[in-house]
Amino acid sequence: MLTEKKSFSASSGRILVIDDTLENREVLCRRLEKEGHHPLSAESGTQALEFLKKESFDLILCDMVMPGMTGMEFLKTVKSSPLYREIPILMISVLDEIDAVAHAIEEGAEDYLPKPFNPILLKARIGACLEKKAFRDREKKYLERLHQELSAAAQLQKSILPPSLKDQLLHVDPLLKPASEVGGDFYDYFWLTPKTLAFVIGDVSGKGLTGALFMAVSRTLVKALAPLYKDPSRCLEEVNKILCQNNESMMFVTLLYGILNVETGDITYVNAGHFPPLLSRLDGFFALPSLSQPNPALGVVEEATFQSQQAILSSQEKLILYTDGIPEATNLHQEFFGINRLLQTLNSFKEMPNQIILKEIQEKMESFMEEAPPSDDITVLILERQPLSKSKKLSLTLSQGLSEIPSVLDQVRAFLDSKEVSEKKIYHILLILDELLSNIIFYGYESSKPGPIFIRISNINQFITLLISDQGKAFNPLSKEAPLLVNSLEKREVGGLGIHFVKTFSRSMRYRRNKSFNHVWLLLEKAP
Amino acid sequence: MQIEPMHQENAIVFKITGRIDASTSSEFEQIIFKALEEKKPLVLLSCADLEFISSSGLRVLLMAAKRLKSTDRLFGICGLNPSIREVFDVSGFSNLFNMYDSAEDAIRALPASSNP
Repeated sequence: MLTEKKSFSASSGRILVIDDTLENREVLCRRLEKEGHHPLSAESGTQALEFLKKESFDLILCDMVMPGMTGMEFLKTVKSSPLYREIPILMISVLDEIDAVAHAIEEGAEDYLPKPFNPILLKARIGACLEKKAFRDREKKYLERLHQELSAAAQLQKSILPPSLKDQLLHVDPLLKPASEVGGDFYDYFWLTPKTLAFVIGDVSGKGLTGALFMAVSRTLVKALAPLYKDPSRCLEEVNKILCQNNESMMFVTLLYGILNVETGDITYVNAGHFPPLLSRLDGFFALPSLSQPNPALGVVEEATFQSQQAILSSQEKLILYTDGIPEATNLHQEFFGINRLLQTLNSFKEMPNQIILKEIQEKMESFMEEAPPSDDITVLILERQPLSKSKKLSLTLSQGLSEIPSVLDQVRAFLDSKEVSEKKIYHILLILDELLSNIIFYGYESSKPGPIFIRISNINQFITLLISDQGKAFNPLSKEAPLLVNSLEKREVGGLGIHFVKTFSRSMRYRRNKSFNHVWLLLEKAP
Repeated sequence: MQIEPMHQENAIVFKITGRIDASTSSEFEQIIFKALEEKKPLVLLSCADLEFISSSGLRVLLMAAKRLKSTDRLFGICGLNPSIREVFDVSGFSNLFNMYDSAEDAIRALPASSNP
């Protein structure tokens, strides 16, 4: 937090005295020393500028009339320099130069001292200048520190929000633009099971640091409680209860929390005070229905119950969640951006990648707002289900033993077909899988109760990679020797063929034992 | 996997459809070995509709061929698709078994002594 370490003192300062008359310089310096200051004198503006380069001063006293560089010229030089312009300057002048003094003050001089010097006036003006300078320094330091604190908070807040998600079956792309450094909007998504993704968008009633704190609490509560409740409405009821307790400042949060099954597209969501989500269909985006009795925001009524809703996100469809910062953005003519402008933008760019859609929304809003400052945070979340054929990876788990192999191979074949793998290579890959999987079941798990076998297949350019992992007995297929391919039936041994196929038909192969896992990695070409 | 036996005078021809893999090979083994007891001079596998065979199936073929050889009978295979033919080549089986293009070719190739 902000603390002032150095105690503030304006009683003494380092003062630069510029006068071409030696006597004046000496009189002034003596007086200043008597007052407890530390003066340094220069006989010209040029010399004074040299001194400024070497050390810092709290105040400059400068004679108006000097040969060479005049007091005015010196003043202008200092006030136009970013390094020195903060140093206050008191102009010294005889009383009949009052017009020139006024001009100097216009140019940035702090005040003036009349010659001959009056000790009381001298003390008062110098004291005032130094005090002002000290205040200004303190304010500057304070603002710097505040800015540092805020950008650290903004950085932290940003870091708890997840980046884009690129899953084989689902892409999620976020946009969050806080109106000030830290904000009350947030979003989140995380896996509840390998097939179900939780997604959240929220908007806290306050902005700035209070909003940011309440946002962090809300986001963490949902994330912590989500795995405990299958039903999202039950989860929000618990979050609501906790938010209501000790909530003397009456903060609240509107929040939409949903669970998406990425394989089926089934969505169960609870909308607590948000605009309904938008769903893309062939003919454009439309808003999902609102409840006849909308759920309250969280943090308001401790005993509130929440009602969930259902939706289906089909393959290649997009679901859009947003906070009220978008429809309620107001331009200088007091017009709202509104939902229609959002829908128009979405519909014109619905075929585009999500990142581009988000950029278009931002640009559309910026041109609508013109010079109006943003009044609220802006958050948009796009969830898009991916078509199966586009995915570059296939992950399967085999846990039922031999009987499951045919269905695994069918899925692999469908995946490889979609990747335009040649018929011959498909055969090789299916053969390799059949050999390795049955080996693991028979020998690794000793048939009786086969543990899970994880299969990951990826298409990388013209290659297919297979990764097969199991927790059976350590077994390195590479260590097996190829059978002797003798041309005599009597002498030919039965067995050893499977591993021979695996080695022959893969381009390269690696084995690693890692803790309790066997990992076999293979690389094959897609063609011929 | 489907196995359809066709009993001919001097041969048993098995028409094999589908996949012979780790999950079906034991059934395949039982059917083939039961047929070997019939003592026909030729056992022929007609494989035009065989989609897939892995080492567990090839193991059965090798054991069957060994059994037939020990009783001086013939074991033949016909109609392999190119992918499976490649597997036979890599296994060295193409040199161990009698390979034919069709069932007719196989029966014609039987030694005269086997014909009644």
